[in-house]
Amino acid sequence: MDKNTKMFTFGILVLVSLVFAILPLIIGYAVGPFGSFVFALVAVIFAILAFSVKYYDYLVLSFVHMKKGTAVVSSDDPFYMAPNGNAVVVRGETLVYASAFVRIPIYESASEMQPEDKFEFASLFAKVATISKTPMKLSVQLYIINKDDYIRKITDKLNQVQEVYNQLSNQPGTPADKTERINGEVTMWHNLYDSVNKTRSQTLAAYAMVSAVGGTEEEAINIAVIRAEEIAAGISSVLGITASVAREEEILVMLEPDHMIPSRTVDEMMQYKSSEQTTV
Amino acid sequence: MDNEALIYIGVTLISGALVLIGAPESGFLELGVVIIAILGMVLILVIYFADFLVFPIFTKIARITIIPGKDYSIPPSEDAIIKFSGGIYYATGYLTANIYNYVFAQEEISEEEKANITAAPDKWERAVMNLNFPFKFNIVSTSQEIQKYRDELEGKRGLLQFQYSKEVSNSNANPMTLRDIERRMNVVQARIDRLGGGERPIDTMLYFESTAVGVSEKDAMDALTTQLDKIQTIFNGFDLSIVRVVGREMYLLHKLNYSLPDVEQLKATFQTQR
Repeated sequence: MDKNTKMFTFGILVLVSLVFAILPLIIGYAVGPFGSFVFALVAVIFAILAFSVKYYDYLVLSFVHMKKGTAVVSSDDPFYMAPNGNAVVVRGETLVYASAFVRIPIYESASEMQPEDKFEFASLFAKVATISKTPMKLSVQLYIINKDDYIRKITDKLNQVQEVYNQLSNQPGTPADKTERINGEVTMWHNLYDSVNKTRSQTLAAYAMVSAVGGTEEEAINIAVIRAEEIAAGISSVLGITASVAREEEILVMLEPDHMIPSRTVDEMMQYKSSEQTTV
Repeated sequence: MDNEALIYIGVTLISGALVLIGAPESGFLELGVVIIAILGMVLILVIYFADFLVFPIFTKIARITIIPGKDYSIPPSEDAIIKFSGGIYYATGYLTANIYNYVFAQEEISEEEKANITAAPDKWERAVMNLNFPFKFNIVSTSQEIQKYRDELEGKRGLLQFQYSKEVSNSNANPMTLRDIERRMNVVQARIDRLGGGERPIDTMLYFESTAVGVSEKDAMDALTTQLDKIQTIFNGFDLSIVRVVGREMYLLHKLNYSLPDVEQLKATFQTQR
């Protein structure tokens, strides 16, 4: 809710509250004690509702239209990707909000730094937080690498080599050393598959986010991307790296939980949990 | 308390006061009206100071689920945001990460403080290595107006100088008081020097975010609680006050993933640290 609508809603609710609060004083003799009591109760309820608008304006209409204990604030996607894939867009009541993201590629570990380098790095990172004149969000995210494609390639290769081995095994007159070599290759791909599947691979990524507001989607996206590019330049200068504006899949990993945790990892976790429950 | 809050509280309490004034009209139910009016006014103040307590209790009792967007839901406990996708529940929760005030009191970097800053990257990496689940550490920063901040600091410095000269001219000058005023003047001067060195003052808000998965909503939320507890344990050594975020603020932090409000809205919604 924008500020004016919020104040208007508050005004209506508090007016109703004041009217019901005053009614016992004006017509209390006519409605009797029970009537006055009901007016007082309604006045207090509306006063609480009016005050609640300060914090819960986004829920007012949802509660009015609530069905079966479910209050729907919005049934739309929380955001959608900009046509160029370089920002995300959120539509407000009258304005459009766009946010762009800047990748901050830091590949150096503290274990590789001298003490004075660590002090400098910590100080420089604090300086990065002061780069933007508009609100900025700096995030460091640990997420699981999506190995689905890589695992699929290993599986395809394993199946291919297994097929060759099966054919050679069934073929009479095949030299033993050839069969042995192919068998070794099957074992190698098997071991690689097990090794890659055994542990989750995680990565730490840092990024900055800035937003802009505009009357149209194009205006908001352009301003957001310009701000992001300025910040990328500032961060690159401060940290001595090449920061860049993130796109599409990189953005989705930062925003969507199902991109942050790939489906294959989820399957493994579910299998592990169900095997634990079976054992118990 | 800002002007807006004053208007909200003032007007609604006036309504409560009018109910109290009209209580005698309720005859034998006067006591009931007085109790309702007082409870109402207390509830309004409790909502103002601690709505994160009141609202989750209300949604739990009324079993209200909130849908903030497509595929997302906020359960009645108001302590997680759940996404249902591909047959799996993803539960996301938040923790504040406020820096303790005594850290802000430090202005000159003592050798001990320098050692802490030098050790910070190692501590951070060790903490991350102990966490084997997805999480995010977020810093939302907003710049202050440099001149306005400088004027505030120079005003403080002037006041302290006045107090110092007044104490010095006192025949029974207390050395401890003088030392305290000098220390506070050094703190303010250090901040002015940092402004002069090109640093921009900022307001910040720090928080953690983590996501857990489960085949059911309960599984995901239990896993999330375990993860958040682990983050709290591991990051306890960082001079941070870490508390789980619930209710309205959790929803607003979730919205920060997609767009950042302007400075006024940010300050109206959250408390920031300078």
